[in-house]
Amino acid sequence: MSTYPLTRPRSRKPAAAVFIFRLAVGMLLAGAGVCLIVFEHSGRELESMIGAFVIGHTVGIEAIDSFIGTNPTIAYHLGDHWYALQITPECSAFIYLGAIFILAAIFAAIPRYRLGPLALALLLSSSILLLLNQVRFMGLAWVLGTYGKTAFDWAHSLGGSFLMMGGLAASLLIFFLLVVRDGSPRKRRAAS
Amino acid sequence: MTTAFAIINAIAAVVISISLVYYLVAMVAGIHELHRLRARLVEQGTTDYLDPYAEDPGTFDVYVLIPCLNEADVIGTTVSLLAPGSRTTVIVIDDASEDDTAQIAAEAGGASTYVVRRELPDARLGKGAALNYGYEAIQQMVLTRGQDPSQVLILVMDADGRLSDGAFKHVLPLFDDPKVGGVQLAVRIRNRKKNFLTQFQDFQFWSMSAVTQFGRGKTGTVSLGGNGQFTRLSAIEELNPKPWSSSLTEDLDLAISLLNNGWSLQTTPFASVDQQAVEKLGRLIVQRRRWYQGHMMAGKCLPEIWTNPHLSNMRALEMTAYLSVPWLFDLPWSILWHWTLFMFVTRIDSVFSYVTGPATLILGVIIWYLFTFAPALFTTIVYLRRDPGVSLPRALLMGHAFLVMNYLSFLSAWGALWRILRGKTGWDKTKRVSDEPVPQ
Repeated sequence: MSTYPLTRPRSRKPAAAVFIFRLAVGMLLAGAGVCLIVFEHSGRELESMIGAFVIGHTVGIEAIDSFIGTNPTIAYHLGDHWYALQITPECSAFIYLGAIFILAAIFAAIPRYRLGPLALALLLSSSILLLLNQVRFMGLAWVLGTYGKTAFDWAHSLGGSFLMMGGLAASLLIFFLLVVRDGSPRKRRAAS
Repeated sequence: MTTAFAIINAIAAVVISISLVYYLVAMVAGIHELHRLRARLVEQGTTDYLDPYAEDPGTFDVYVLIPCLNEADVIGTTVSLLAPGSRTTVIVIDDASEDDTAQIAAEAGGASTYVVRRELPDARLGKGAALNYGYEAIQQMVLTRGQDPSQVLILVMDADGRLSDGAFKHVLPLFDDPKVGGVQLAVRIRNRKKNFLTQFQDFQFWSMSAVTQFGRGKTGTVSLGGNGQFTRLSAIEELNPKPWSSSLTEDLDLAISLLNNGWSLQTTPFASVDQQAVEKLGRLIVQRRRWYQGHMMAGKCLPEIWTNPHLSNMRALEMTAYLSVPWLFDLPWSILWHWTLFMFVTRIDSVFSYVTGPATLILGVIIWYLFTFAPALFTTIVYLRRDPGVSLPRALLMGHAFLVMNYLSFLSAWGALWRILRGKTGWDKTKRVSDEPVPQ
């Protein structure tokens, strides 16, 4: 078995330079992850802006981004009433995004995982989380406006929580599946 | 403060999600692998452990290594069941026993059984040292007999281990693939009906561990255990002259070494090994702490795994996840679990804010339970299918026992960490109890 085929050719780049470069990328990603967590309030503001835009342009109802206290809020007009969805830190996807960035930083520091698929994995898993949270906002807004507070509580406490937990698990699965790709199909066959 | 709570909650959610992904992927892969092999979950669920050589193809020479320290209660039956193989040699390594282990083994085994004795102070240095001693004997025998190391297998058995009927018929053909360096059999607990602890160990081994191991067969990264462990001699010869390490989990270290050398490690649903479980909580904690310590210390192999060109990325990720379990899941979860419980209790009004009366309470709790305990229910169903002898209430009890048995993991993981920090690496052997006689 000592002649077992190598799964990837040796790089011509000096090992030290590659190591330093990957370490720098890793630190950059880790720094970005920490920033996403520390400045999550700005993230929530962004989410409320996007949420208001999405609700306004998809459901076709008047919606604006606003604040209740310090919490960014999506306010929307349905029937004869105005409703408001407060986005608390726990409702936001940004802290989870921070965690995924930190995970990506760890993979960036491991030489065997290529940076291209890693970037794609990060982009896709982050997008899924952000998109899912917007879908949740949209669904909650619709349930609150259409069926009232009790239905909202069901959708928020049960549906929303498990949707986000499932979404987080799914985005992590996609992240891992993309990161481990061995490159071209030929290389994958050689590695199997 | 709200943000700090949100961050801790997010960390808990990420830890749960990653472990959920790893567990579910391994379980689903395991079930898929069973389907691929045209096997069912119940496979081996009602088998006997009396005739491992039934329909033995006899395609490999097999050397059985049984390290023993005061195993007089169980060694006779084990040797008598393993000795009859036409191409099998049993080597009992008596590690300075104070009882009649050596004599009983020699009498039970007959001509194909060799008892090698280690004497103090060179004995009782751990299972790895005992196995290496037996390995030297195997090398000499293979050389003398002119056997081809690639056609020779080493089978490591515990003194209380018994192989399922027809085990060799199913294991030996796996080694026809020249990439396969080792095969580990699923573990069944013989005294599972003794008490809750032994049943729980059976549930862990037979329901969760076995199925995830079938799944790991897809990446060829099945973990080796110390009982029912087959390895190819030519694969072992590529390693250190003393292939079994002095670590507390020498079997895990061997698996990592073989994988790092490019070998595939496999398992089969059509054969299994049964053994005794620890019957008392104190002994179980000591055993698990030892396993955790070895598992945690094996984390030092990660840099080699990450830089090894012989490993595919998938294999490297799977090995990384497996080796990280105590560090990334058990230790953090021991804290986060209590945090999650605290948040659940203090925010119970918010969690069940939709409850407006008895009907919504019942419906809400049912839906909440089904989502929250979905993995436990999944494992319950798997256990129920794996063993027709288990009743639904018993399977449900086992599936939900993690709520209490998590503390066994927490205690063992922190105990192991404490021992690592203090530099304590002593080996505490699992004590056996007398078995019921085997039917003739």
